[in-house]
Amino acid sequence: MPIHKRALSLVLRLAIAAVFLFAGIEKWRGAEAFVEQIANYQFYPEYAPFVALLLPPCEVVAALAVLFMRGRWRQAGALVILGMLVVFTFAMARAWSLGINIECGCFGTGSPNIGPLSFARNGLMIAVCVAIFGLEGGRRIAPKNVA
Amino acid sequence: MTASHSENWSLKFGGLAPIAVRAFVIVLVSCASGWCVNRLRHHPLPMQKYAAPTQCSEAAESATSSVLSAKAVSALCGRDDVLFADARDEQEFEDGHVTGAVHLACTSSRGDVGQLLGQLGNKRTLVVYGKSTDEARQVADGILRQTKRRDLAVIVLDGGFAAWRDSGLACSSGACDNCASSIGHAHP
Repeated sequence: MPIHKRALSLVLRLAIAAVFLFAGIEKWRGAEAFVEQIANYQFYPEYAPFVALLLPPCEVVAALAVLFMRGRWRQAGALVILGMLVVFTFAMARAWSLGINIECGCFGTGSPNIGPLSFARNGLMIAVCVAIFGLEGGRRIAPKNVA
Repeated sequence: MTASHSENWSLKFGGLAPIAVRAFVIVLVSCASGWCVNRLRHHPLPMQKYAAPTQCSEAAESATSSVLSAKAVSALCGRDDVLFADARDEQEFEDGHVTGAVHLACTSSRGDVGQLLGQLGNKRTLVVYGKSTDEARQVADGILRQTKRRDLAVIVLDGGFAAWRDSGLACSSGACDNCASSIGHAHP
């Protein structure tokens, strides 16, 4: 892979990993409050404790995989983050469309309310994940007709 | 050109199965670590379905001290399940206190609240009074934070000891019996 693509991949991975490490740790620390934030979405609120228990470690482990693992593991980390972002965006869109004015809970307590900025941020992160996935996939393409 | 492009795309994004398997492993590892960390937490999240708090359960979960007037508190006098605690300093306690009250030493550390809770025994109501309502409320809330007894009602005497004395209610004077081994309360 050319050096500029490698550098771009590193920058994107650092950025997405930093965001998800921070978000995961904050949610882990304020788990009780995070349960309430999830329940406030009014989307199967009875399962909020299970989600609050499993989501933060998913964010942290996936961020670590993107940052430190190699090859397909790195892509797998990006895929997990991508999946989470899609689910988050869907949940936020549903709450917004129902007129539920709540904190997004993206970074634990004190997160901003759901609004256009939240969707823009998620869209940007989805694009970053797709880029990481593509760039890391490109590494495995064998050069053809070399011999 | 198109064939080569699609082949490249297939190499980049194709072969998703091994990646999906690894993603599944990441999720499994996350679930296991989340469960383990929760077990190690001081207050683990309960592994049960979420129930939205109702007014009643909310009140039970976040118990706070209630403030009652001297007249209302006097109705509790003589009951076996009530303990009076004086949050003022030792000299003021010796000068006069509610009959039957125990003294709380302000200089004691947090751990000493255990002594008070031990002295409470089966009593279910603790009446705390001080020089003022606010002083007693701070002590009462400190005790509530440190006890796990959800059946304990902590009442603050409105107006402090002065309100009790001015109402002509039962008072005693003299050195406290327990001052040598003062019962402590936490500073908030």
